[in-house]
Amino acid sequence: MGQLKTINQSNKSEAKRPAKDATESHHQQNQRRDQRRKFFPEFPPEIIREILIKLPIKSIGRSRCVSKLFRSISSDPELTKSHLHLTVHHPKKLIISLPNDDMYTLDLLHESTRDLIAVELNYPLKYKLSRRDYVEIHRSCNGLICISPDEDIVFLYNPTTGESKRLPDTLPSSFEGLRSYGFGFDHLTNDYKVVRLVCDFTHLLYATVYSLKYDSSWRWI
Amino acid sequence: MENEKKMITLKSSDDVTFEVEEAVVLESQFLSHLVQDCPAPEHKIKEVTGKILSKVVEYCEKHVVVVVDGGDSSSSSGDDLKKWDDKFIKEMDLSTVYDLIAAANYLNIQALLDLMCQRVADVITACKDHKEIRETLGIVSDYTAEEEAEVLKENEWAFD
Repeated sequence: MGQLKTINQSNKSEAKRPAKDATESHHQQNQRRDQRRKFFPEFPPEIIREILIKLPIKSIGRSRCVSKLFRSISSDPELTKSHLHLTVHHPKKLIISLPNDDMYTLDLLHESTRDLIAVELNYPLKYKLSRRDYVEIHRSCNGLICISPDEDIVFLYNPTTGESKRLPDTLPSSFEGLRSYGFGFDHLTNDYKVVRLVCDFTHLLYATVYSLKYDSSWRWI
Repeated sequence: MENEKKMITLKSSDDVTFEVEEAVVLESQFLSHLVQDCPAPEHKIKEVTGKILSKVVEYCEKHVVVVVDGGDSSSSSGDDLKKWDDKFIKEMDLSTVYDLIAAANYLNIQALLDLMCQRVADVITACKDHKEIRETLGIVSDYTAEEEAEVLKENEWAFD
């Protein structure tokens, strides 16, 4: 009942608003009433959450700019988690790395493949001189990708928002050996983890793991 | 066995009455409890107007699961219901959607609440930026110019 009360109160405060011009025409009055009726009611946060969770990710970003209330509800990590849960089972993005240091994203929202548009990604360290001319994509998980724009430099990168996080370096850049990376989400600890294996041609030399939650250095395993 | 349906009368805030089968009322968790706890033939719902209650009743009558003789339950097929839902919300203006959200929330009818929230979400999805969302939904910004500039920068990725 309390929820409805807030709506009534908001209507009441609308009704109290004095008419600006007592002589306004009937038409103006009608117009004003229409505008007034269109005001977004003071819904409880759960309702706004129900609406926001049904939006595609870009519309969530736009909604954050609408009002402080929309921003605070849509920035709640729990909402992000539920939203991810709803969308992650339908992958909609393809990330392509080209041998000229460019990376593109393709949105696979449309069933027709004729209208696909590749959008260039402004990934971290894109304009830094690197020792190689391509970005290595290690793995993707929940819409995040683990990439190496340069030798031994690892980023977690969100191609949708452009946010990125550089992981601490552990190996001297001259270190010989083959590197192999794994990236995933650990449901037990609610944490993203990156595993790095370093091998020579016959043996596994080092195995280290990085946890996003603790964001410290790599732990030897 | 005689299959007489129990009828219940709902009365809106502005005294419009609706006679519905009990099964229809059971779509609403709030009304189910009300009917169980207070076995009167008529129930006044002070918080919902006749205009909105008629829509609620229309929705619940369509979505009710009818138990026929022999214990089989039948209802409209999923596809038919979806088509009906689409038509139901298609011509509805936003102020009615808002009122139905409030009513579905109050009466605790989850499927109707979901449908209406989806409608608002579809409206937001069609908006190209935050200004259009405000204008369409009727939201007044409470950001200062500086705050807005900051939040826009933070969410730059969301704009084409």
